[in-house]
Amino acid sequence: MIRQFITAGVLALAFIAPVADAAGTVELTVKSLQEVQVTDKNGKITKKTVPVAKVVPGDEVIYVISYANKGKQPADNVVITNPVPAPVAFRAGTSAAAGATDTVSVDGGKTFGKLEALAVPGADGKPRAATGADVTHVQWKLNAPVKAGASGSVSYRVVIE
Amino acid sequence: MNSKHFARLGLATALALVMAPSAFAAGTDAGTNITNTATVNYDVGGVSQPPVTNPTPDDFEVDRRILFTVAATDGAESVAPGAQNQALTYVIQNDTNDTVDFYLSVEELTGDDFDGADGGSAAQFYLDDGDGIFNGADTLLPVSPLGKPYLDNVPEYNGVAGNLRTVHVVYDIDTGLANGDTADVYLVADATSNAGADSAIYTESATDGVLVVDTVLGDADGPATNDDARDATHSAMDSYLISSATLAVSKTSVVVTDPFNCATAGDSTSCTGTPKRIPGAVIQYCITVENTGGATAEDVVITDQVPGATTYVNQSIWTNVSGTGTACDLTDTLTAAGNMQPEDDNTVDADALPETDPAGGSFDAGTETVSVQLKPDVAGSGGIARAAFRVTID
Repeated sequence: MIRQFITAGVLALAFIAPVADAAGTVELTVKSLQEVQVTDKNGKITKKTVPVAKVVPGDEVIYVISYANKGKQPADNVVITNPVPAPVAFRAGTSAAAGATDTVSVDGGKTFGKLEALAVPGADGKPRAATGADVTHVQWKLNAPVKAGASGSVSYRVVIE
Repeated sequence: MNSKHFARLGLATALALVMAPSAFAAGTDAGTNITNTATVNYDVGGVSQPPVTNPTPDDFEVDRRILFTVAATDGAESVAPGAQNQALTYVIQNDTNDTVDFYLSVEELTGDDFDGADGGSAAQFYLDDGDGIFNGADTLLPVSPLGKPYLDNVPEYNGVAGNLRTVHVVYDIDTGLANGDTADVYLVADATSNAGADSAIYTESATDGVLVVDTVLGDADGPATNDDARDATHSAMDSYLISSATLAVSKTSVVVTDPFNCATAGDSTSCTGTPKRIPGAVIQYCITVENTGGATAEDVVITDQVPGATTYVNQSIWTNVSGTGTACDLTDTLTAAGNMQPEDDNTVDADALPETDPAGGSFDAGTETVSVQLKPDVAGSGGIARAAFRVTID
């Protein structure tokens, strides 16, 4: 049984790939970054963004999601959806992106909206205003098509719980 | 490759399950893998395309942040000189996002009046059983192969009282110490991974690994000599305070009656003139005990030989006598109540046991000695107790 399932999975992947190739492919990469303070030889402190390495609870991590249209035709109605990983909290107001409309979900990705307009059940059972910690998904709708060969990125910040 | 992928999926599921309790957690556990996968949906030429995810999920592991505190639970412990098995009590709270072991040691301050070890025994470390009080239900902490006492597997505190560790440091107190003497003792805790195998104290990782659990030191500076910020060491001070009784005894006398100025011997209200110290006069002795020490003096017994040329007045011993300073009120005008009553149930010899009077007052006719236990116990910081007895001048 197990062997058959694995075979089926491989077949499915093989089936999808040519379709994407034929139509044009958008590729995604996700990178986690960290802001660190760097002191130069003159004692001047600047902030620098580096790939995440040492991270403990309370630290902030920046997720950068890059997209690139590797196909030969423009990609329309591009929607990037990112489930917020479990043990991190979305930092409200950090998902804004030029050229994109950003929304969030607090119900596991069923519905999306601006965080300030969303509510979740409170401890007393009555709805309360949602906070960054309630966000389950972040979503961006790109306002313009991504031309062939074009690329861009969106980002947001989280705090390790 | 496949198995690694499955492992990740399994971990992601496990994380989802523990999500709810982690809302109260001090921090995500060290070693937790945080994986991020995004999806893009798009159309080409008006045709919806299959969603695409980032082929390599972004992931990193949460590092270990060493963070904990040692605290003394209360003020100085009052102890008596020579008292055995006296405990100083400290609480260790582990706010590291990991389960940690702690080596425990003591540092005795210089410049205070005495040391815990002066009593002749090294510090003993006990883990409290949950009541916060040192008693027989507490357990002696284990000792590593190199002889270091340690706390094993201390979980993250996470606001759960049961995750705190209360430790008693126990010494025998030296004898011959004065009231108010103090001994200050630091309890020092060093965080480590496996104390039972004498693992090294945690240090800050020199390199940063993305998929490696690095160690970051976040502990605060503490009072002990070798306890700086971010050194996986923390400490707190508790103190012994010697509390002993310091007693001062004084004795005064007044004339109650004489045969010429008073109608009835021993009845001060029967006098028409001022009684004088002449033969046949009744004298009341007042013995006052003041305790200027810190501790209550219990079971204080006064013995006093009746002066020559006087005769003890039978059943004239009183305890808990009211008065002013070192002077007692006249006992024949007092109303016996509670433990303020005449003692001496045996006018001939030392009282037979068990005593029938509350304070065990007695007169030994052989040695002509008055013996009385002060009632009540003499409180510290200036408590006073008085006893009185009477004699007749021969």
